[in-house]
Amino acid sequence: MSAVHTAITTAEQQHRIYKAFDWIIIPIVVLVIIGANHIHAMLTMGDWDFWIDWKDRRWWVTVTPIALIFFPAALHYILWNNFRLPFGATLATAGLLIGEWANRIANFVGWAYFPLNMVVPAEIIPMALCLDAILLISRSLTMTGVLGAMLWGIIFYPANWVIIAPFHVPIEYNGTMMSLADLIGYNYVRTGTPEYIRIIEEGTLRTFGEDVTPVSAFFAGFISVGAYFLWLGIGKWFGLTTWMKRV
Amino acid sequence: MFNIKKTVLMLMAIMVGCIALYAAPALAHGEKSQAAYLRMRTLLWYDVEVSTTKLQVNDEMTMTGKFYWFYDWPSNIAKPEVAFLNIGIPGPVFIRKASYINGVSGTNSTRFEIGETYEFKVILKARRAARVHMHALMNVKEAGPLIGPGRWVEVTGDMADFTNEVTTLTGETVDLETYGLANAVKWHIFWGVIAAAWLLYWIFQGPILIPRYKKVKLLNEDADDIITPANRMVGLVLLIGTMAVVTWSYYHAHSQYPVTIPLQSGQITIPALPDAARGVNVEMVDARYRVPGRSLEFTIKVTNNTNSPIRPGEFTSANVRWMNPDVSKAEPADSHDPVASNGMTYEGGAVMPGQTKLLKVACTDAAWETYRLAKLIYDPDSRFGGLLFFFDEEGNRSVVALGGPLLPVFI
Ligand SMILES: [Cu+2]
Repeated sequence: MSAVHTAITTAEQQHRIYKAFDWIIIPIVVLVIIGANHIHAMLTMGDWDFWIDWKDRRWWVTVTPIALIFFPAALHYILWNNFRLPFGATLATAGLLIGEWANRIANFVGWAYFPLNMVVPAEIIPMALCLDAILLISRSLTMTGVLGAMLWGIIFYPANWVIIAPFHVPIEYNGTMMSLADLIGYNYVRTGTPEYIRIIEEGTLRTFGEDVTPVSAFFAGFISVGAYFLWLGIGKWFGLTTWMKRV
Repeated sequence: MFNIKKTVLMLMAIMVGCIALYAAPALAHGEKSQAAYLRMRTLLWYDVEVSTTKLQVNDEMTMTGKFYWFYDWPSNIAKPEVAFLNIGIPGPVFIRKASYINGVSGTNSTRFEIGETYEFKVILKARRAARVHMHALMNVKEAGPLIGPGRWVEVTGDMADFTNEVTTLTGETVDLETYGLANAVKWHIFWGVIAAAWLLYWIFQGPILIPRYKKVKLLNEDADDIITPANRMVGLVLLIGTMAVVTWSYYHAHSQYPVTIPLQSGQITIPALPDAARGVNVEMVDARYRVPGRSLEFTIKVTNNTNSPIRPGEFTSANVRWMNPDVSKAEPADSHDPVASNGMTYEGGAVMPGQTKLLKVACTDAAWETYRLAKLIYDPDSRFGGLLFFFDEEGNRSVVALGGPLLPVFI
């Protein structure tokens, strides 16, 4: 840092350097986040996010928010503690969606010819906006973890219902009742993804079994709270300046 | 302790595994890759036919056939408690309009009985131009894909002409190729724009990294003072606005689609076909594989409980067919259809009604090598299996499963 300081003589020059620093660092960080978060997402929620006939009201609703809070939490720690910037969650989710859309269009449609409506990624930006907004309003990572992460898990399903509801309209097909999502999964042959491989709700003998979604959403919220704090810690570890010293 | 190197290596291994798994169907022709004893003693397909091999986009074709779950199922392979009748093609060149197992719709995953025979029918509608080697396929949970016979099929025409229209129980007719897409894209764009605005709001507050970092370090415990009341007001508007839109969209979707159902995941059991042996009983006496002659030779004790003399006309295993043209004729359907038109000979003559006698059958063909079935003798379990077809004088067929230890003859 000291070498940089001595080269700068005026405030205007300093401003230019800072600006250049932003323009160099921010795109690199964004690209790294897209790549890393995308790999993380494919390894954790994978098929649930790929296919319309995996987006159920028990597993998908639970797995997605829990899996996806990792990067927002880590970025919250780094960006808030060092810069007081409250956009870590939006950056992580919007970046992920850019990667996902590129992947779905290039690979699933361009390469394998699946119809795009079968492989639309889940909508995850509203949850991130809430998480960021709560951080900004409360100015507290703890409050964000408790309130924001809970909200993050809870609103995932309502925010996506407007996209997936049309696919849950029933149809009678060859004597069986299916949702249109099931039918798309059946029509568009996937050699390596047979019907039974789907991990989706199968129903239980528990009473009030029809209230699956709110239960799953609250469960996802609770786990997201825990996961948020876990990943704040990991963000802290990644943000350690010892890394810089080594470089 | 948490070992970062090990974890990274493990994650990389998982990733490579996932990529390999996803790439596998694209490589096609898995027909020879599985161990010979597994292909011969799991699912035995026969009578597989396609209604046409050349069709236009939107044309339909039918694949029919039968499969038999071999009675001596390898103990290391999961039994077909949950299985799904599938089609082996690289991506949806066709859509599956319908599939039936013994006349029951195959939309659900199914349970099958070992030692039983089922017939199937799959109706496919051509979707895009391609020349593909299409296979009948059975996915078995925890076992994997069991590949049936393949056929070269050619689709011509333009994918843009393809439609997949269905009518829902609420009375709407929709095209599943594009259904719901415009709505999904609209919402993704809407939230994408809001996200971009939120990020730009911060980025355009001048250089943000170094100056803010310095200020945070300078203010130390009072670093929160960097956040202005105006900033927080923007945050509040964002929070309330987001919640309002989410809530509105949720109820809007409910009123637009009042009737919805959860994803359907039930499983069914389908009764088997009647016994295809029709009163013919076979006992394995002895079986040898002659390596230099590429010939399977087995002696069997046959009891004929039907009322007509019978003779063996075909032996089939692992989708390869050895024909005895004196009794039953078949030719390869295309360049990749392993049918040995003169592959089977036998000694012992016809088995009369009520008679029990020994027959000596030989199945000879280069397919033992080209389809990697001769490797059986080097497998960890060198027992073989297959289906032997007997025909009576009226052409009635009896299908008998047989198998047992196979001894190699090297000289
Ligand atoms: Cu093939």
